[in-house]
Amino acid sequence: MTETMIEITNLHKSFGSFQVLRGVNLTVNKGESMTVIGGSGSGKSVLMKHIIGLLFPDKGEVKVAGQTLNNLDEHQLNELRKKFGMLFQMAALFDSLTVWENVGFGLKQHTKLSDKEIRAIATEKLALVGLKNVEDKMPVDLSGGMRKRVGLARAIAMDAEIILYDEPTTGLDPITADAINDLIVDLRKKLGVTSVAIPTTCTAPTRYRTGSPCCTRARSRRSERPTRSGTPRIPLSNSSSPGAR
Amino acid sequence: MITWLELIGKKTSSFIREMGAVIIFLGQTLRWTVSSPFYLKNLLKQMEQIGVNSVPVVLTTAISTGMVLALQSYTGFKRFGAQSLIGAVVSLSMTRELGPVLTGLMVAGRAGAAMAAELGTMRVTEQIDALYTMATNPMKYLVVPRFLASTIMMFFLSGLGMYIGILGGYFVGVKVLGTNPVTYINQSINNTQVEDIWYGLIKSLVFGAVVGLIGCYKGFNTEGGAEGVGKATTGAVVVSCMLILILDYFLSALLW
Repeated sequence: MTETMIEITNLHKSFGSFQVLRGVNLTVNKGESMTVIGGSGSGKSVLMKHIIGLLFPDKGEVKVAGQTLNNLDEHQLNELRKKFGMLFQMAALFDSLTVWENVGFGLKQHTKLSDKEIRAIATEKLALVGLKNVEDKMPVDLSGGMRKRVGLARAIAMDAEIILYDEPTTGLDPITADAINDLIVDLRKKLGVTSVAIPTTCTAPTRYRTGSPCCTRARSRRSERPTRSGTPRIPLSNSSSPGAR
Repeated sequence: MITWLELIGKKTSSFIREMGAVIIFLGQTLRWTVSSPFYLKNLLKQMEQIGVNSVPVVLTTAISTGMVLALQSYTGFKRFGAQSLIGAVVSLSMTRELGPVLTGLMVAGRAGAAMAAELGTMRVTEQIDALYTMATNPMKYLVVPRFLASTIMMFFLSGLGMYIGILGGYFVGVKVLGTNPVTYINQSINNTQVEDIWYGLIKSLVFGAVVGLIGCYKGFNTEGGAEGVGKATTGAVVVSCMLILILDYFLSALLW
């Protein structure tokens, strides 16, 4: 029997009078890769922020690994967040820390490993995303693609069970974007984690359809309600949503 | 008429909401100040950035103020032959009032602005969200060290400001204007109590807390991009300076 990792039921969210999410339901099973696609401003990032507890629902509930996020206190929520890795749109690297300190940040905060051990793990994770000899550089010295790779290394540094990708290829040229997409595919194969991704365009899920199955299911969003859900081929080819098509 | 009333109502309600938000932010900061984990390295780094790096600007302000105060007091007191009181005026003014207030204003302009800009940039580039996702509380990791460093270092900077200001006054009063050094020192010592110094230092602790709190609050709640960071930075300096000047009166009245 497949184990449910993320379960969103009847999720509603408004900011002031602007309703962003209205009755969203979503289930992601363990080891599955879900891609949420939809037009700009349709609430994809808001949905993702609910999954990791950066935002909380006005109505409905979000369950991760069987725990309802609304009911958790701060300590329990932080314990749950340790299961996550997240790659942000602009990588969100800490400006004041070096590359290896960024990658090893979670380890530094939540383990008793020495700096030497953390640096070794950071170097290993950086190699996994194709980066070498950048450990002592500052984020400002890196190109956009390299920053994304470091962000990816940071997301997997704690051996996360769930990885969230928020528009991982935004602002990158097509070649670098392809390289990042390949990395995500590789990481899924190597690590077998559950993942939820918001692609920048439909290019990413399209290539998942033809290439390695980075996403095993795609979810299309239009307006405030989810429109289609299924294997990648279904929403992309048959969806009534122009964005999804 | 209704439009005006609406506008006043909106501004008042917005002001009250903002005050409430600042008080809640202060409560959260104090709560996290006394609970583990403690980021000592972050605290020391902030003490260096807020305190040590502010020394030149505080020294310049203090010495200039002390010297001008001695010069102006001499001009005034000479008219009724009370030049010997310059020392007392300079030391009392520097300890009770000018040392803490001017240091507070200078640190608000330098370190308060830096705090708001740094945290504001972290907010708009999602670095603060990234901290949450890595199970690290940003209030604890970012705000508490800045708040504590600002409070602690303002105490020492004010003390330094007082001392340097008095020294500047002595230099102008004795070396430039030719006042008798023994009289100058005696007047300073006889008219300045230890309490005067403590009152000034207590004020500086409050001003330090204000600069740290407002700088962090404005930065932490930044919205928008570069424009938002600019607004947060300006807001932090303006609000901190206003609060320092307003609180100065009430603290002076309280510690009279």
